[in-house]
Amino acid sequence: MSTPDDLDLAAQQTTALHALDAADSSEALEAFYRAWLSPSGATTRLKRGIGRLPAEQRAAFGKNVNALHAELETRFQQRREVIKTRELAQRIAAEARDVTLPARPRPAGAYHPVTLVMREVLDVFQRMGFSVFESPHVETDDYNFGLLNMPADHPARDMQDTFYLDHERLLRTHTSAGQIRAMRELGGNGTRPVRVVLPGLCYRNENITTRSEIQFHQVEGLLVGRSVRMSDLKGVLLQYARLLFGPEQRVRLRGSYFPFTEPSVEVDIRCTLCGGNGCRVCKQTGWLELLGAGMVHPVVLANGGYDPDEWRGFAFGMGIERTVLQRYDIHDIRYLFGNDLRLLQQFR
Amino acid sequence: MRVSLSWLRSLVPVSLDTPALVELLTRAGLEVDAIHTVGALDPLALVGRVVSRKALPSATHFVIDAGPSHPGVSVVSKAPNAERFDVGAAVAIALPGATIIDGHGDDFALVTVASARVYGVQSDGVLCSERELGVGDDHTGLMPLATEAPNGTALSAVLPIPEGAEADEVLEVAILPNFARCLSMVGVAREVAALTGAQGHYDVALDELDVVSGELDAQVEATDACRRFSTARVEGVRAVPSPRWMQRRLALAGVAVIDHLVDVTNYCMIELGQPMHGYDLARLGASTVGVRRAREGEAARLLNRAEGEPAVALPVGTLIITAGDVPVGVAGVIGGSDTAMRADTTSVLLESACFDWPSVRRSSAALKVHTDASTRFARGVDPTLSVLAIRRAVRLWREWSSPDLKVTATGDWQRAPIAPGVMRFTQQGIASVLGLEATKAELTEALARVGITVREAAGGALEAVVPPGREDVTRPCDLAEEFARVTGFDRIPETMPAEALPFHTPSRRYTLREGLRDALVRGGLQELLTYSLIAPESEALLGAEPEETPRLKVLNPINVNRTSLRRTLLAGLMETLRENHRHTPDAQVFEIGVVFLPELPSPYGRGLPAEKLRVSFALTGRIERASMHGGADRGADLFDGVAVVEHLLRALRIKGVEIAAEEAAPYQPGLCAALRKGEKHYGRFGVVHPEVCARFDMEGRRVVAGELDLDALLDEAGTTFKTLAPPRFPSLPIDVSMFVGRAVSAGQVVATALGAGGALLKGVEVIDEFSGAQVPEGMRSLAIRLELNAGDRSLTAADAQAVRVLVTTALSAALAAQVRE
Repeated sequence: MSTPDDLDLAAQQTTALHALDAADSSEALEAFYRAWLSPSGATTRLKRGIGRLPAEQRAAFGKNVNALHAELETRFQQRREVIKTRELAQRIAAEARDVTLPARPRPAGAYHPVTLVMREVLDVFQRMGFSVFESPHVETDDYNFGLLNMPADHPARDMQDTFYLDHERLLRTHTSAGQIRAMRELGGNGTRPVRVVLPGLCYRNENITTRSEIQFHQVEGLLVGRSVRMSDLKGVLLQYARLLFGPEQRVRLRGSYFPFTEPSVEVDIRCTLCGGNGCRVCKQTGWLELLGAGMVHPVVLANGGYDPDEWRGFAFGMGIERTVLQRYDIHDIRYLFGNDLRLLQQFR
Repeated sequence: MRVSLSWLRSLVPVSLDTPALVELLTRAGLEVDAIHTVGALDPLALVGRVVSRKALPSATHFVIDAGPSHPGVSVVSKAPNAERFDVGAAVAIALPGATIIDGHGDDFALVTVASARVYGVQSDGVLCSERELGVGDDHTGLMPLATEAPNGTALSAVLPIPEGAEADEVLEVAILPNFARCLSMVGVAREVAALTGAQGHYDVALDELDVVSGELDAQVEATDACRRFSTARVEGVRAVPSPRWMQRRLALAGVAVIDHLVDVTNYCMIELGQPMHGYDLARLGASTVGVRRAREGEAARLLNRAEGEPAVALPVGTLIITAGDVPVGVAGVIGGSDTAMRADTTSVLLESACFDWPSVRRSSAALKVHTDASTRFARGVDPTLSVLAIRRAVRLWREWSSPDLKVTATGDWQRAPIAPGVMRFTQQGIASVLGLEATKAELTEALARVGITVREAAGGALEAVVPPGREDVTRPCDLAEEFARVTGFDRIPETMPAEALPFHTPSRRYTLREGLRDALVRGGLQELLTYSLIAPESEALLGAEPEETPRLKVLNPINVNRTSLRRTLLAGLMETLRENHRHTPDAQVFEIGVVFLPELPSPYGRGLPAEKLRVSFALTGRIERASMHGGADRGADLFDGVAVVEHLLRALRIKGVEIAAEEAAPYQPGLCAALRKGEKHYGRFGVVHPEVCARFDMEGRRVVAGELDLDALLDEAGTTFKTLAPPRFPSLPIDVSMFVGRAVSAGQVVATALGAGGALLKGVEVIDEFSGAQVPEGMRSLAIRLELNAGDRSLTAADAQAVRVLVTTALSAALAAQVRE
């Protein structure tokens, strides 16, 4: 009894290997698998054909069929790797695009530049322990002037052109207006220290030009304690300048005048543009004006509820817009509240 | 205050160069705003050389090489010696913008060089004489220059400027309110001496007046506003031109030169800081003057008005000078024209007073007249100066115009004796305010430099004796400032506070508000900051509030567009879109800011308006854009507004707020919604009414906008919440289609379904809406998708059917929905 043709393993092997070699794609390989290796494939049929063989051939045939299956399986896997690699390479090649084509549109928002700078300033002070305290835009003459040691007709009122609503109410000309409120609200009737920053919009009745606006943002700082010294003011502002502008920063104080501080100073930092060598921005001095500051005037401390013999404090106030203009090289302050979207959208 | 450096040097030796002096003054609180230069010291006065020369009929046309920046300057010169300057000869050229001295006439006057056409030829500079450069007297022709310096070199670098030359530098010094004493040359000189340690010599020459004081006492009625009132009757004076040196100092100080009688009073004011006024005794109609407050209906002709103009009404209470009870001037501000010194004046009543600053400030503000005198009185004048200034004026008159003058009477009224202030302080007090160590000797020496004497007081304390005129120094902290100014702020070390202070405590309002700002920017919106002041007319364009709504108006608006405090942010946003839509048609913007509502109470005190925090947004133009990658342009519509509002609510973690239809301006009816929770109303949003857009010059443009009460929303905001574990079994969706009446909202359908579906129903979403022929009259078709999940097991068909029955029954019953199978 000879081996039926369909159980001629050598012939089957030749046919299968041909088929495998011919399979040139994932689809063709899948077809090969179904035809030869799957449970319904040829090798399974061969195994089932074992019953048609004489008993003495069966053991060897079974072994050979298994060997054939194993060989086909191995070669199939190898072939599949090759095809997969090739097909991936083809796909990648086909998918390549010109990366310089335009992007898909995607909505993008932006902060107003004043917000960017304001937050930076507040972040640093908050990290240094200052809390944010906010006070109203519309103030009484008292909070804005009188309680800050600027009674009616005081010469210092010349320094600020004020928008009045009536003889008593006005738009705050500086965030210092919130100092008394902060001391009274947080100072526990002159028994507790205070460490706050007061951010906000302020108003001055000035002509609108490239350098001046009727509204602008300020950040006021106020620290009241039992042993506060002017050297602490210098140290805190140095720390601030270093956190914001780098560890090489230096500060210097210049004499100045504010009715609500005594001594009063202007605080300069090393020019952030030229590093102190002198340039157009710092008018060749190497220094940039950072803010006005001083030791809280005894009258103001008393108005805030503190005994000025027992308590001292320092205060400082800075404008935000000037930094915005410097930082982003904006030459006209009117862009900021004029809201030209062509300028603002550059902050996206 | 304009400070001529040559004048300053005559009062105090200054070894510093100009930049160092500027730095010194600036650091001590006298900020130098500008440096003006005159003559040879002007940086636009340069060395040049003749390139070509051509004779004109009565002048000479030169082309001058004035260095690389100005290689071929065309200049016409009328100098008689011009033809002696051949090609290659060095000349002194002042370029346009330079300040030189007028070479013609005996008066001192300044000229600013400008470009001009002379005899039809362009002339872009002046070739200068010695006199024009302020280095000599010769004005007969161009000044020859013997120099090897290259063209374009500053003249000041090559020209020796002789002692007493008229070329000068003038510092423009900003005088802070507590530096009133520095509104005078002597005051600035004292300051320089204090800061440099130099010895000044500002005791100007004075004449003793050999008359008895008291003869000429003025009638000072307003004793509450006048501290000292000194007068002198001077006879035998002549109004002649002032000497050139005095004209020069006045001109450099920015004071008009008139004649010697007037010039001397101005000179004393600039030199000493004491404003003075001279009355022509022949025109005064009285032997002396008085000081009182103006009564109802009084008027005076003042010197700032042209001849023949009517008298100016004097507001009641204005501090005035009178002669025989007739007003002849406003005290400390300006004199009257009828009694002023003139060319024919021979007898003068000199007034030199110390008025209190509040009165002068009020007069000056009420009359809107600001003079050199009022500037000084408004900040406080040293009461010791008044008689000194009279003696100085008499001396100056006698020296030049009026050698034979006689002082025939004087008066010196004082409210109270003028005495130095005395203040107790401790050395430790000064040192600890500044945070440095200072010995008593250092303190004493430093304060002595600014005229403050330190002496021992009982009990180990110290006393400071402060001279009159330094009334800004009344407390130990003022002494600390003077000490720091004189010894330098650099002495103060940098320390950190040495006591326990409160830590940073985050404010809920601030944190949430800034979080919302972040969310809106992340959501693709552009932040705006608009003006708090707006025109009510602009807000009226929205049509949202009746005209009589209370508004806070400023008394002194800067212009008609900035008159009132805003009641809404929307007008500002609409204005912004109006200004931008032509060049930026696609915009999605928002603002977080306060509005001012005077009808509501303020937590900040009675009388103040409520300041309500609002968030407002506006969308216009394309919200989706076609590109080469596909997609299509789509304009913003109502549901983009809904998306912004829902995004905002998510960001604030607010739940349970509903969106409901409402009709209100400025929105289009049917495309307007309110945000509500029970009785609470958080604001509206919607499609802006086409007529409103037209009023904002955006006819045909669609704007989706909204404004919400952020204070109220922040109250609702959650800072934390509980999560749900993700379901372990898949959800089962069931779709339900129905017809509902047009009056029934999708929101009602969703709420009804959610309320009826039981525990298995986790969510309801509207997935389709249509109207059309198949839909019964007065109805529309809605489809919703129910999301079912049991959490701990798979759902069965029976579960689904049960929920479906619950939901459809409720929809039919509550909303008369016709559910379609």
